[in-house]
Amino acid sequence: MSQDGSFSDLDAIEKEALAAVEAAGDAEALDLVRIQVLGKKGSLKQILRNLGGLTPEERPLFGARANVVKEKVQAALDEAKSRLGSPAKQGAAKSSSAEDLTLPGLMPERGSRHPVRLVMARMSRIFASLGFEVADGPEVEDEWHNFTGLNIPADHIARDPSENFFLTDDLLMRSQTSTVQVRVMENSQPPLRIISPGKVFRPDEVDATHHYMFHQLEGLVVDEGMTFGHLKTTLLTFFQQLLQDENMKLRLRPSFFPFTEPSAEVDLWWRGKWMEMGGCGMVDPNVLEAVNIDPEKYTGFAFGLGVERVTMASYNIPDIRYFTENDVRFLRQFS
Amino acid sequence: MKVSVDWLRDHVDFDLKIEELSHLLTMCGLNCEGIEEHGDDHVLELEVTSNRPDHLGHRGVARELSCLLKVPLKPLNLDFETVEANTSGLALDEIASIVVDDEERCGRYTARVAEGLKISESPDWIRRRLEAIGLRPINLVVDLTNYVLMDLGQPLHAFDLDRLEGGEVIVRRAQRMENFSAIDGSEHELDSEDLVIADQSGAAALAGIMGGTRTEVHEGTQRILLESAWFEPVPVRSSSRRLILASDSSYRFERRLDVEACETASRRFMHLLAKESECSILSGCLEVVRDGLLDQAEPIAIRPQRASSLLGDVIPEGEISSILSALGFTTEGDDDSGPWTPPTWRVDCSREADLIEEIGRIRGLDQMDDRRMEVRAVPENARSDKTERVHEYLVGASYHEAMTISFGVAEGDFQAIENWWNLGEHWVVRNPIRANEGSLRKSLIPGLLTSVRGNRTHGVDEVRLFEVANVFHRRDGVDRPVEKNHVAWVLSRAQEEKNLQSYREVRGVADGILDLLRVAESGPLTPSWSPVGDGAGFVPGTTAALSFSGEQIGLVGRVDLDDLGGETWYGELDLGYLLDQSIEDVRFSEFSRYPVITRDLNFVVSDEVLWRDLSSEIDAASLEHLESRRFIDMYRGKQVGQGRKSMTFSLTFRAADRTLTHEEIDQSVERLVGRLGEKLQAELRS
Repeated sequence: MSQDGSFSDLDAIEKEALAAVEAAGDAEALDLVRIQVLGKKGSLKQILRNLGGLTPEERPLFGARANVVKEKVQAALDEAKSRLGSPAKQGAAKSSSAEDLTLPGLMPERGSRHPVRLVMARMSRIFASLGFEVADGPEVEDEWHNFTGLNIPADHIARDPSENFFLTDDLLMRSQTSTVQVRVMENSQPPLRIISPGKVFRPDEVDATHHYMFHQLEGLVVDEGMTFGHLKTTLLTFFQQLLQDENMKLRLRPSFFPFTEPSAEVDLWWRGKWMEMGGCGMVDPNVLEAVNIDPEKYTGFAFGLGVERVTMASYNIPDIRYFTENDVRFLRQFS
Repeated sequence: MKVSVDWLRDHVDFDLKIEELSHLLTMCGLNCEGIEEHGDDHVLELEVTSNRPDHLGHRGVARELSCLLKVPLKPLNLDFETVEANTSGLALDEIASIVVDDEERCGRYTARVAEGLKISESPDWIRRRLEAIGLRPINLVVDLTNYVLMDLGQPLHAFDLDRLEGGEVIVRRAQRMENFSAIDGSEHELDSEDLVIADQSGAAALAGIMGGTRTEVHEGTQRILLESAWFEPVPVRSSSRRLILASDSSYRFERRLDVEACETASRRFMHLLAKESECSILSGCLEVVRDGLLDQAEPIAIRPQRASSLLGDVIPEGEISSILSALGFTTEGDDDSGPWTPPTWRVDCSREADLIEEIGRIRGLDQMDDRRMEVRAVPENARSDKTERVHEYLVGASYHEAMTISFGVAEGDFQAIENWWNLGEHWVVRNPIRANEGSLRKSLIPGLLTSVRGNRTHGVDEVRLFEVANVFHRRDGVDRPVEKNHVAWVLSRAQEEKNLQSYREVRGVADGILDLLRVAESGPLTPSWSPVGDGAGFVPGTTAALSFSGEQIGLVGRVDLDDLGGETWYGELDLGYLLDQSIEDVRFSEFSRYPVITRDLNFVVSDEVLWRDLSSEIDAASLEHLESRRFIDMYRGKQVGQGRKSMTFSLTFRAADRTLTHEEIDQSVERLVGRLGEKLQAELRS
C-alpha cells in the first residue's frame, strides 16, 4: 500500500482532533472542535472531497480509514461531553453539596391480577403444555348437561333443589364444570383433550373454606386406549409442574362420582399434610353412551380440581372469603 | 362413621399398627379423617361414600379388611332359643300382625317378639363400645338396636308391644295434619307423603326415621316387638328433609340398604338379647315382602382383558376371582370372567365397569403403571389471548382485578345503569343465599360498587378495580339466559380532580381497549362516543355511551357515591361484542423517514361546540400530509369570555417522499382555520 500524502493527512487530522478534544475545557470548546473536524466544512469533509491523487483501488481504503477517524473523534467527543457536559456533573464538580440520590424512585403504580385468576391461568398454561385445549361452557345450565348426561340419576341427592341454585324447573347455575365435558362430547368426536376452567355455584354456607361461588378446572381426555395409568401420569406431571418439585407426593384415593368409574380423590402432600385437590376417574361408559361415543372403542378420563384450594395453598391464604371481598390491601399483594 | 378397632376384631383378625390400618382403609376408599384413642381401643373416623351403604357398619368395613389382608371373615352367630307360645299360650301370629298398605315405599317389614323382659342397663362391653363411637347407652333393648345398627348397618326399632294398640302394626301413609311426637322430643305435623308405622290409635313411628314416644321402650317394658324393615330411599330422604328430622337410621335408609339384612340383623339382635338377659323369644318371624324384592341380581360378566386395558394394569390370572370372591361375589363359572352375582349388600354393582372398579380399588388405583399420552399441539386461541391482553392492559393501567358475586341487583338509582344495557328482566334464582342476591346480574356494577365502598370505607384514598365476567341477558324467544362477557372498571378517589381529569382517565381505558383490540380499524364504521341524556343512573351530564354500527356497547359515567366524598367513575364494555369485531391479522405499513412539522392551534369556540365536532371538521377538511391530530387541553375563564372555551390541539404533518416546507403547511392550516371559522365559528387565538 502506498504511503500517499493523503493518508498521512488523515493521521494528522486524527491526532490534532484528539488533542483538541483533550484540551477542551467546556462544552462550547468541544462543539467548536466538532464543527472544525466533523462539520460540513470541517477538515475531514474537506479531505474527502480531494481524492484526485488516489488510484481507484485506494479510494475505498481511504474512505474506510476516514470513517475510522470520524468514529474515533466522535467517540472522544462523546466521552468528553459526558465528562463535562451535564449540568449535574458540572454542579457536582463545582460544589461539594451533592444531590441526594438516595431519594426513592417514582415507581409507576401497578395493578394486579386476582389471585384465583392468576392460579387458574397458571394451571391452564401447564395443561396447555400437556396438550389440553381450553373449552368454555355457559354458567347457567340445564338438567341434562348438569346431571342426566353425567349419569346422575333422577333421585340423586345432588339434584335436590336445596343443593342447587335453580332458576326454573330445568335451568340452574352449573354446580360443576363437568357440564362442559358433556357439551364438548356432544359437539366433537374423539380424540378429545380439553380443560374447562370456570365458575361454579352451590348454595353452601359460607365459612373459611366454603363459598357458594367458586372455581373449578375440569379436564377430559377421550381416545382409544386411555387407561387409569394415563390419568395418574397426567395428574402427577401437572402437580410436579405446579409445585416445581419432581419428588412431590400425590395419591389417588378410591372414591365415588356418578360420572366416572373407577373414581378417585386427588390428594396432594403439601405443607405437611394431605390436601384434597379434587376428584378424577375413568369416564363412566354411561356418560360416553349418552353422547353417542362407543365405550368399547374409546375410553377416557376426567378430573376436576378446586382452583380456590390450590390458590389458598399456593399463597398461604387462610380464608376463602378474602377472594370476593376485593380489599385492595389484599389484591395488591399479588401484583 | 366412627369405627372401633376392637369391634372390627370381632369380625376379622389382623395385626396392624393403627397408622397401617388407617392407611389401608383410606387407600381402598374409606378415607380415615381422624384417629381417637379410647382406653385400649382406637376409634377411626371414616368417610363413607354415598354409593357404599354396606360400609355403614363394622362388619362391612371388616369385609374390606378381610379382602385386603386375605384373611377370612369370621362367621356371625345368629342362634337363639325360642318358645312356641307365650305365658298366655299365644303363638307369635296370635300376638301381633303386620299390614303393609304401601308396598311401594316399604319393600319388606319383619317383626319378632320377645317377652318377659326386665329392662336393665347393658353390660359393660356393650356400653364401652357404644360410648367409644359416641353413642349414649340407655338400656339393654335400646342399646342393642343401636349396637346391631352400628355392627351390621341395619336400623332396628323396638316397640313396647303393650303400648301398640291391638298388637297390629300398620305401615301406611300419614294422614294430612296427623300429629307425631318423636323420641327426641320433637313434635311434627305430618302429611300424606310421609310413611308411618301405626297401630289402631295412630302413628307410632316415622318409617325409617324415628320412633315415637307413645310406644317407646321404657323402664317398665316387658314385651317388645322388634322391627327390622327395608324402606325405599327417596321417600325417607324427602320426609327427613321436610320434617328436618334425621337419624342414624334415616341416613342409612336414604342410601339403599341390603334387602337381606333385615333378617340377619333381627336374628343377631335376638341372639344378643338372649345372651345378655332373661326373656322368652317367640318362635318365628312376621314378615311382609314385596314381590320381586328379594330376587337375585343379574350375574355380571367381566372381561379380564378389558379390566387390564382400562386400568393400565397387568392383572395376574386368578386375581379377579380372588378379589371378587373375598368381596362376597359368587359365580358358577370356573375362571375370572364369571359371570359374577353380586352379594345383596352391593347395591352399587350392576355392570362390568363396577366390577373393574372393584379390581382397581383393591389392587390400588395408586399402583397403576405410568402411561404417557402422545405429544399434541394445542391450537392457538386468539380470543382468549386477546382477553388475556385486556386483563394485562388494565393491570398496567393500575387497576386491580376484582372477583364479585354473579348474583345481585344494583342499589337504588344505579339500577338504571344496569337497565341501560337493555338486557330484559333479571333472571332470578329460587333459593338465594342472601336476600339481595336473588337475581343474576345484568351488569358488573353491583359488585364493583360494593367493593369500592368497602375499600373507601377502609381508608383507601384511591381505588381502581376491574372485572371481566359474564352478565345474563333475557332475550325474547330464548328460553335460557344469554350470557355476555363484559369488562368493567371503576376509579374512585377521595380528592376530586379538575378539568374532567377522572372522566378522561376512565374513558381512556375504554379507548385503550378499543385500540388494543383494533376494533376501530376493522369496520366501515368507527366506534363513536356520544353524551347520554339524564336518567342513565349516572350523575346528570356525566354519561357517555359508545356505539358501534348502531349497537350500544359501552358506557362511562360518574356514579353518585357522594357520601364517600371525592368522586367515583365507572366504565363498562361488552367485551364479547368487541372481540367479535376485533381484527386478526396485523400487517406492517410503511412510515415516512422525512421530518415532521407540528402546529399547535388554539381556538376559541362556543361552549356547545364539542371536541367531537372539532375533530370531525378537522378530518373532513382532508388536509394534505396530515399525519395525526391530538387534543391537548381545554380552558374556560375570564380571558376567553362567558359561554366560550378555548381548545388546543396539535397537528402533525409529514410527507412520505420528501421534506415538507413550512410554506405549504401554512397554507393547509390557513384553509383549516377558514373552515373551522365558517362551520363552527371558531376563532384562532394568537
